[in-house]
Amino acid sequence: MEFQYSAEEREFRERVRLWLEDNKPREARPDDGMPMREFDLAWQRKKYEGGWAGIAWPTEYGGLGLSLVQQMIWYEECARARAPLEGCLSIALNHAGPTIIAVGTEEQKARYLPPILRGEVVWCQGFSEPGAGSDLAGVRTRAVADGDRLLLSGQKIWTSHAHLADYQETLVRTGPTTPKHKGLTWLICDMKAPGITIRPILTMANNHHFCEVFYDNAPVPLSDVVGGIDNGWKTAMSTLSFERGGLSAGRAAELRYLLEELIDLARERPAPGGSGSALEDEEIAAQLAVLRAEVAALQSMVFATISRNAEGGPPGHEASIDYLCCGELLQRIRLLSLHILGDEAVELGGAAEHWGNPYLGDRYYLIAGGSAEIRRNIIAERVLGLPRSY
Amino acid sequence: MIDLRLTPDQQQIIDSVAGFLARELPLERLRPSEGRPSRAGGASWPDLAAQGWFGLAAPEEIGGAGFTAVEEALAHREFGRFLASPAILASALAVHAAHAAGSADLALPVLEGERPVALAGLIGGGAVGPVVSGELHLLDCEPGDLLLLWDERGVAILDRDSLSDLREVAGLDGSVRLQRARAERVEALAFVPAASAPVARRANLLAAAALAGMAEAVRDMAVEFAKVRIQFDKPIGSFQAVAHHCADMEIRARALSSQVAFAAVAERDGRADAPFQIAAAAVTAPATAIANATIAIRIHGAMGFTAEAGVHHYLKRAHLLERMLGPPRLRQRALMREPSPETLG
Repeated sequence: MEFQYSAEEREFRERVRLWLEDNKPREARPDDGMPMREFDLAWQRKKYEGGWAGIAWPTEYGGLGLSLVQQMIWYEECARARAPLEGCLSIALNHAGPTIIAVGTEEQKARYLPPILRGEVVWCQGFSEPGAGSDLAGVRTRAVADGDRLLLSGQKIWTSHAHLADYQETLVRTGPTTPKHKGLTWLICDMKAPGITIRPILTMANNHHFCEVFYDNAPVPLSDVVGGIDNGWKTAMSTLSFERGGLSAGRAAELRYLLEELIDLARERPAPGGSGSALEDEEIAAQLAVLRAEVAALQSMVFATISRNAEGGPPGHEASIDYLCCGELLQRIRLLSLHILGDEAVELGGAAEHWGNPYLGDRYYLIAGGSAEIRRNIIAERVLGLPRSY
Repeated sequence: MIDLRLTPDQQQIIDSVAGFLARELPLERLRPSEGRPSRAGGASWPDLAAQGWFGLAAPEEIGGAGFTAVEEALAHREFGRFLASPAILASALAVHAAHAAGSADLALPVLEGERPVALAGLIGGGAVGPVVSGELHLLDCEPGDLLLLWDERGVAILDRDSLSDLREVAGLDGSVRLQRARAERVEALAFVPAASAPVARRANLLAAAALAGMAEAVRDMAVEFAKVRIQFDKPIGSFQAVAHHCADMEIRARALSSQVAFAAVAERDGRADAPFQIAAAAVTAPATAIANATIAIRIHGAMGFTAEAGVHHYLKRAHLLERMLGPPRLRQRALMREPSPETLG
């Protein structure tokens, strides 16, 4: 067991740190609409110009091809600098792009990958439907052949940033519904195609994070099918090995800094209903200590995952554990922040400005991309070898 | 190099320790029909010493094996998994303490198993120091033993014969003999202040390692049971109410084992964040072991409530080790006093 960064890795961290200090966005990230899109694209362009775009992408596709440890260092330094992550470019950089890299044609790679890295386009993910949330293979949006194109009809929902997106990675049904996992097709849908209607949904966190998307014979050229007709399930799963722990390490580091900010807040705020600071309140101090201990445990667990995945090969399902642990700790930190704010926690502005909306918005992490319950199913079945429980 | 995987040597140490424990101290020794087992199981105390367990991380020049905090923590994870006697922990710590105090005469008989060491803890506060006063709990103690006690001030070794009013008491953890005794201004044979050598910190690390082994053991017992116990014509593990409990046990156990290993590496390498990492492990370890044992008992259903099924021992032992780590509030405050590490490694 070793935990020593090499001289090259230390030098790399130093370079990242200096670059972030000079180049990270100075203004706060808008949390909705076109201003958010423009902010995220501008940040990506900045990274592209600075030579920091596509840290996990292979170099042959314009990425940096960083080692897993270097990816981890990048994300840790972003957390330390309070530099934003990919924001609404996350699907493009961490899912759609890697899928095209894994199974796309040379034409698709040449056409779609460079604008992602250059910060010119936003992608969204058209997977969930009213009847296909956790049960993703229950997708019913149809695509039927019409000459050299497919015509899409049906509905997607809870599509993050669809109203801000140029393209969508869309999972549609081209074949029979049984067996469910067969007969799906993964394709690239131009969000400006005729027949597409996008209706933003107001979330409980007071923003328009996601949308309904309706398709009324919306055309998609056959050349934009990725991985072959009726092969969409396999295509969608091809990126499972893309996230190997680098991003989790960043999220763990973000939690660490967030918790230290909360400790600072507790030092400044008065104790609820008592004298002294909130940090002197026995109950609050105890909860902060337990969270500090558990965030440290999470950090160790993420390092262990990275150790297992660093050499390549298919990653295990530990990522489900790390992600779930991150999300649950985050919600506990957010809940405690409201206790520390005390009476003022019922406001969204003022003292609660940086805590109220995130408390609401972070519900997202235990639902999106696999709910906490689905993740527990995966851990029970794939990690512990229990029978399928659903 | 960022690689927290076990090296082949480390795996070999684990296999060797676990192999011996499975032969000589199997969990079946704790069945009620067997009476209270010997603390060395089917072996003798010098047999355990001959395994090199008490000097695993002691320097070779005093007769130790010269391994580090990492290998030692891995071994204690196995001791926890098999619910080995706390006297093994006490003996390993006594060797560290005697060595730190410069007392080879004290270390040697412990290393060789001539002088077993029992764990002791002050009741209701009191200070561990060069002179110890107060009422004590003794765990698995026998005549002729030395005693080891620790708190955040340091580690002390006492002679059992210097205590008075020694009496048996019924213990929450029936697999460990519990006694009370009184120390009236007893001078320690050795005292190592926390500021002069990190032996008390090592004690916290190794206790946390044992608790990690326990959290893994009950997870494994519950998962195996959930695969074979049939109700409603299915293994109970195919019901999410059970499966999700198992997933939670896995998350907690994996988090704690990773944390203990990471803390041990920090300690071995003398990293500045070692006190932080060990203080954090001392907070999570008892809570994790207690939570996992609680759920594991329940997954075993009525069987889990019987004395015959071994799973209840883990709950009881977790409380015993938590008591040795000190009150939760003190452990929490100790963690909050440590600066949060910036960049790790």
